[in-house]
Amino acid sequence: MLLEVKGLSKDFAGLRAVHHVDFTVQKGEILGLIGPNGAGKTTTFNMISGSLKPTEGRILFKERDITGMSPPRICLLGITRTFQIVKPLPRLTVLENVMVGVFAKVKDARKARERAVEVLEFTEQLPKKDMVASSLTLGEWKKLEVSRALATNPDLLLLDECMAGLNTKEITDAIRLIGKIREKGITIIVIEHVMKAIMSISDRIVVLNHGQKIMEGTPEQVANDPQVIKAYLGEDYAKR
Amino acid sequence: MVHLISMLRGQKRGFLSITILLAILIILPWVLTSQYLLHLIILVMMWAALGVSWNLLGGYTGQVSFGHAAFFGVGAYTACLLHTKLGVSLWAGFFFAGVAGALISIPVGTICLRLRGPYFALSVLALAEILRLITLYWKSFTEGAVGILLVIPVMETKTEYYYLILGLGLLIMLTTAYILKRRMGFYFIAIREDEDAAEALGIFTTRYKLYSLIISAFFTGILGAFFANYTQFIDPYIVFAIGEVSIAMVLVVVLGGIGTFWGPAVGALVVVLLSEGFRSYFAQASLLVYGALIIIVILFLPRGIAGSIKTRDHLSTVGKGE
Repeated sequence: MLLEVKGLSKDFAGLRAVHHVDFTVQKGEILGLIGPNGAGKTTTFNMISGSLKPTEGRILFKERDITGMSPPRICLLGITRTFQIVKPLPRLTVLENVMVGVFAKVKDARKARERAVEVLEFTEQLPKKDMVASSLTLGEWKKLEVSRALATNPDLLLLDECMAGLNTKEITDAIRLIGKIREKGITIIVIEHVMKAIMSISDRIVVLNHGQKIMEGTPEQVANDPQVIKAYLGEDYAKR
Repeated sequence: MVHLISMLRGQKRGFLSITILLAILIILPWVLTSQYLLHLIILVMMWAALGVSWNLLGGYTGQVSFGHAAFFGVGAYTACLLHTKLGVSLWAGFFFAGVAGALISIPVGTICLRLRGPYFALSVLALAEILRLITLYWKSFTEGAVGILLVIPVMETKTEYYYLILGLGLLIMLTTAYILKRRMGFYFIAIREDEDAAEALGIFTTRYKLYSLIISAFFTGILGAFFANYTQFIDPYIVFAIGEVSIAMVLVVVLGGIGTFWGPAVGALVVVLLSEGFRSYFAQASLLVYGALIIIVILFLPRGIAGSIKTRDHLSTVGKGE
């Protein structure tokens, strides 16, 4: 068991955004996290990555309690997240952005540069390495988020809507990249609204609605579950 | 950052122009007969060094300070008081001045750098004011408003001070360049660019902001000691001044180009020359001119002088990269 989330809850001034959510992630798998807007997906990510402290519940990573730890500590322990609303370091180049990620584990600047080049080669972003991050397109920003997160050499990668706003070709590329990342032995949790993508890459899917887990299962089970169809997918999707 | 790296990439040309500049600066006192001009150049170099120190924290780490006079004044007073009260050599005083500046920065940094927003900038401003009042009223120790006169400073001639500040300035610039090329420098800039992203990438942001502050305050303290020796006289109004020290440091950097390597040097040149000119015409109103200048720069040259020039070769670098 790589990650174990137990009875996780978060209140925002009386509003319960996440309510007693439990799930586990096995090493090497891809877990999909889906649900309508406001279901508490990103809030869950924020709690796992440390940027929000849970109101209740525990988060165990490699059998270690990481509940309430700061984001940098959690990153150094091996969980790195990307942001739904991209957060590039705008005045740095693509390579420098990735180097900042590499520095989490590599202290020497020259080695960090070499490692950053390797990461960009892996994510097929090397041709853009000297471009200033602010001049990239949305698709490239989303990819840079992934490159930079990978650069920290995580065991668990949290991808928050890394395909939102991408065109069909970019989505195909992203799916392929996620597959490549899994082959490296990195475990992934994906939040995604692009159903085609999430259904094809996930081993298991957890469905949230109004902060609660309403379903967990394989993509087929989830796609055919009446409750999920009602809350999120809609009748049209079920008929297809 | 990009500028720095592209500058280092085109190392040969950069190296050559820096060598020429350095050679000119070394020869200058031998050919310059005017003591007044020499004095102006000493001031330019001192302000450039102060600007570089402020810029590491304000420009590269993104933590603007409106109260660097706190560290400048503490440095000046430390060197002078250690000398007059305990007989510590003024040369050692430079080092202790830096240490004192760094030490005084730690409590305010530890408390206020946790927060985002203007809290840090204003807390340092308050710190400088508190220190000014303490030195003003603790007369038995600091001589209060009477100030301290260094009868025998560390050196005598202007030429000697010229080389001293050239050396100190070089030391500060080289240290800054060294830091910026390493992990610590990348972390400083990452914090400036996006604090959430920085944290998510494993950077303990409060700790690194504090490192940046301590280094910046250390440099500023040393320069406070230089100022005390050079002018031979300090009092609380001079070294803890909001306008003439704290804001002047911001002006030097903003005018020259915030977050650029050469910006502070360019800014120092402009500010020293202008303030010399204005002093004779406007006297006390020179602060008013500073204020107007900041407004004009922010409106028309938001990247500062060096920043605006650099933009062009920065874009050309991007073009070449593709």
